[in-house]
Amino acid sequence: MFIRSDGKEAVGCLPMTLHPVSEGRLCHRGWNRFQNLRSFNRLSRPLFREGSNLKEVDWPEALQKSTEKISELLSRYGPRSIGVIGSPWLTNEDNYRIARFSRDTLGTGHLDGSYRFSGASALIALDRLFSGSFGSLGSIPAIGQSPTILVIGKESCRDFSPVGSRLIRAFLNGSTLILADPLCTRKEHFFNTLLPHPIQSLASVFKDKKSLPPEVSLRLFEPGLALIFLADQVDSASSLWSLLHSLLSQSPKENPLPLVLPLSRSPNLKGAWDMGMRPAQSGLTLHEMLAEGSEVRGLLIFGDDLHSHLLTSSGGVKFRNLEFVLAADRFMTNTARAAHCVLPIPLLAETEGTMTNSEGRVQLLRPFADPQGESRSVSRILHELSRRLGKEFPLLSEPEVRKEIGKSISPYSAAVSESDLEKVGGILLPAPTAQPTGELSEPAEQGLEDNRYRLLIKNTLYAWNRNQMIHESPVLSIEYPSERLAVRMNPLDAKELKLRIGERVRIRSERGETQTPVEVDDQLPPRALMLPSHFVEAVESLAGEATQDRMTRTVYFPNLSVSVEKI
Amino acid sequence: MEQAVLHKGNLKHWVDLVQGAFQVFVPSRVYGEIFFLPYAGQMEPDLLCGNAALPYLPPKDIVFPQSESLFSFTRNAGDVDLSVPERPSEKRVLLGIRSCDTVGLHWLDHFYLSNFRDFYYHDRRDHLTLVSVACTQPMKNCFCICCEGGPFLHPETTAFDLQLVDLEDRYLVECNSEKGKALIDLNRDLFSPPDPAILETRDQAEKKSHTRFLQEPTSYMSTAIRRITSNSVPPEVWTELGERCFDDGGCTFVCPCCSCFGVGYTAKGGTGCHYRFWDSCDYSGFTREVSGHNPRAEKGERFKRRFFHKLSYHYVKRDGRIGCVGCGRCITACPGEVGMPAVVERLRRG
Amino acid sequence: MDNIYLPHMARIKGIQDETYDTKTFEFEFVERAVRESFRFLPGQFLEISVLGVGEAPFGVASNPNRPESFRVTIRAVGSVTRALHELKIGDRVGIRGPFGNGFPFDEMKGKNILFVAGGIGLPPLRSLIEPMLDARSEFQDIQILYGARSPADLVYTDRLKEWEKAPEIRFMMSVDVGDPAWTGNVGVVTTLFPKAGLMTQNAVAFVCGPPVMIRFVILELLGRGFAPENIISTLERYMKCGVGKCGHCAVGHKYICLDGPVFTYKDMMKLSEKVV
Repeated sequence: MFIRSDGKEAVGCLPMTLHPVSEGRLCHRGWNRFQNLRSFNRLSRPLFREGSNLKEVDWPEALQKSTEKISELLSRYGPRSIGVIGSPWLTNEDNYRIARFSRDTLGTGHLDGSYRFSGASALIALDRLFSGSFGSLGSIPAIGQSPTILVIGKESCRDFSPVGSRLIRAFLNGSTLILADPLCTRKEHFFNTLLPHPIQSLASVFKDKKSLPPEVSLRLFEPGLALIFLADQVDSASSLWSLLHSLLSQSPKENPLPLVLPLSRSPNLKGAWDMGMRPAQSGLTLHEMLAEGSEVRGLLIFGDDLHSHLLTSSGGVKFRNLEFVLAADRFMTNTARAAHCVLPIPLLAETEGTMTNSEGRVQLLRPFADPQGESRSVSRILHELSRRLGKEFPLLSEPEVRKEIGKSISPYSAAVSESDLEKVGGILLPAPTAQPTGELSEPAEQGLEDNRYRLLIKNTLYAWNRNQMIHESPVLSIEYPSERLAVRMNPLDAKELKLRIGERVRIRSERGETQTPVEVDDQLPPRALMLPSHFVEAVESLAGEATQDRMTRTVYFPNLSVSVEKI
Repeated sequence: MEQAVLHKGNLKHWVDLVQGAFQVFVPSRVYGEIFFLPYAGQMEPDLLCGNAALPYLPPKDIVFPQSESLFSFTRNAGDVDLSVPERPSEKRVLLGIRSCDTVGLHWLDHFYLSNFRDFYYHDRRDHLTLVSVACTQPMKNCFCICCEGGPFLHPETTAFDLQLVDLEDRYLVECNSEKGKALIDLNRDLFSPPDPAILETRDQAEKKSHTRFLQEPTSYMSTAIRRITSNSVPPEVWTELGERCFDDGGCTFVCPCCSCFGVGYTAKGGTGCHYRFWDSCDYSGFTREVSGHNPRAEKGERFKRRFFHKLSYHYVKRDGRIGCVGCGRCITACPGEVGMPAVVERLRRG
Repeated sequence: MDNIYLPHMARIKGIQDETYDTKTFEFEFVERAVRESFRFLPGQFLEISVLGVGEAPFGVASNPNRPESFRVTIRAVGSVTRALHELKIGDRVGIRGPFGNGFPFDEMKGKNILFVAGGIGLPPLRSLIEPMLDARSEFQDIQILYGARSPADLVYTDRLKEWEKAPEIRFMMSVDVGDPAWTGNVGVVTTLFPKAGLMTQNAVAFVCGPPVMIRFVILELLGRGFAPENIISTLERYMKCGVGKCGHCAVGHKYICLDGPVFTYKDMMKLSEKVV
């Protein structure tokens, strides 16, 4: 898309009609993308903590003091005391550099991406499926030609216009569209079938086929299936892996793989993952770094607001008790506020580099403007920190880093040609060559006892809201108003309990209870309640500890059986 | 209306002259996309022909930008100083605007310059002269013939400054305003009076253009207009159409006749600014009140509202004409394939 | 040419706490020329901005016959109103307006006037009540019925006491829920109707308050013989520009800021969107 300027600042944006994915169509975030470029709240100077305040300092001071803190931790506790976090809001090149920095300069294996809590699970499942990294599992334009499309989660098509647009095209061409979403009772007219099951149960539903309409179960296992889901909302990798396995194992051997599209709210989830933003052999994941008693005492966070996405309160406690936190970001986020050192970096619109989208398409960024204020590139920051720590960290140009990436990360050897990258539509990475492997796991959901409710804990649109792109845009912050703590309930259930909107209820589970106001959502099935996962206290009161996911080495909250009573 | 002939060989000469007194904007390709950019001595003449495509960004952006500052403020002791951005001083010519976009700009003129006159719009529009090019070949999404938006402009029904009719090796220049006349007056030697044969060719070109519109998306608007005005469209139809709408706002942004805006406020330290930006009635937050109550919470309601504003007779009376010029941009912009022609067809079917 | 989007700066001259979440602000324009030429009609509204934070519409709540010091009663519900509540005397706000069509005044002369106000609906009605009381002899019976959620939600308590005692008007009030000290009527404002002795002939009713309340009051009034064209209320919508350009306040083919906010019930029914 184009960002338009009046010579001084961004005044508008326009999608490219000739782009193979967008074809001139965007979502409401895309059409208003330019607004945060003119925000007054950009970080312009480095900040360093003095007591309870962050004080503006110049770069040499910020870098010097940060280096001192890092050296101190290294000498007292060794490299395992420092964790480094990259982000899907940074380019491939920057993530690659951060990975190298953590390995070569710091020698720590504790490397991860801020997507550990939202998105990593899906990518891990896909990696397992293909025994290693996968390039592209399909393109968005190809969705329009798929005879059968399985969409998991309503938001997948609502909020991604180029995807939704191909869905409609497929619908108009007579394709079968299936929606799987446990949180909704009403499907749009362009979906043939609604499967009100969560991902965890889909594998067994497909295996059994009993609860599937016959024409659907036929279509699902024919060639040409497209599978679309929001990576951010997949909590447990094993459930996705299991689902993919069940879809593949029942298709005839000679069929091609289904088109799989792991969508994300962040622009470079796949790219950051591909660049190796995950722990080394003996390293810890972000969740493990923030576990009580972990050996990590310092955290270097690049490009994302971790603090607003923590799933557990103990993670928050650990975060706030770290001895040194460095946050390199563009705006004053909650993470920056809690950090010891804050370094301003350029926006994506002010950076060169590439990003890889959910299709596996590598595209070039063309900077719209020079970096604002005193912000410095991640490359330069890492170079300066390394220098002060007595290590070499070369300042390479983006094309030079791309050459290195092409040599060391296999699908990216296809993405080195600068002239191909320049083309509109970039380069689509090659399809994986390995055969998919998998195993069926996860028991089906247990039935509910009579007066119990099923409480679903979901990573909702709130995650979209806690994001500078949205905050700093007047129209988008209205579209995503801050949620008030409330549990959502089906209107018939509310009527049965004689509840009005806003009235409080007591929810009790095996492990505890909480009190919240009630909001009505006529999309929820009966006997189902929904509590957004970011209301950490309420969630933890009910769920106790989050469930460990061995495969992803993070946590999530499974559905709970609860009772509800009016207060 | 004055008519004169300009040979294409003299086009550049004339444009250079105009550039001497005005800032001229011409259609230019950027990565293949057409934008109106300041003329810098070079033109892409194929974009000034009767069969050229229109730019995806509607020219309303020149008078009603996607975002603009309303005023900035500075705190000064106990007081506050307000300052409005510098007013545009240069006169501008938009060369190569299509008929539908010209009609669209006049719709915006009627809206923004009546009742309370819009200060910012007025200045930009006042300084702007439009040289439109009549369309001899419609694009695949065009349906201006259903909306009185083209393909040729007529002085009886539309105000315009200059209209260029592409006749192979020359243009027939039709002048309908003082602003247009001023451009011809820059050098009358470049122009010659038309002979009857030329005028005949011009009329033939117009007739031919009418026959070139595709079956789809042209459709008769009158049934849809009637049904919307009398509120006799069943709510299920709006719900169904609303389901196909993705709340992206694309249609409103690319529509030459959409004028809604929101206002944003920023401040840091003692300074800040209030600015406005294109907004869309498709967005759920468009009518949401501070209490959380939203009179148009249902998507079908919002969808219905937009078309009510565009097509109902109440608004035709208020705005002077229907809010659609048939440019076809909404067909390109809409992911749900429910642009104007699809909706009109659906409403006609009942 | 006037810039309709550029506010005039005004300073806060006085702040009065009305309830736990409502304050009345008295404003005075900074520029003398504006101060001296400022006029407004009852029922019109102002777009008041806290610079850098936001702007919102507020009905003027004071007597149009005394425009040199005008008042607005504001409840803190959102970011702009909360920011306004943080301001002190002498602080600056931006004001644009007055906008809107205002209540009819001269046409009401010689009629029986009924005011039914709920909660925060009393302030805009006050801009009509006060000038009517100034010209008392021109109107027949004037009756005010006021309801609030609780005694703590009543606004203008001093003026209410005066109205209770004033012989030239009939005043009754009620609260949805009382408190230990409350000795007055308890119940929603419609519960006052049976004992209010309403004048229904040659009468006009002005109704302001939360949408739910307006709906029920209008039903009561229709049931008691008020014709739809003699029931007058205000419509509220999210507003941005106040001058009919931004499109946010459009309802049917009307703009609340241009054709309203004052509408008769008859006109409301003609709008093609359900409003009440």
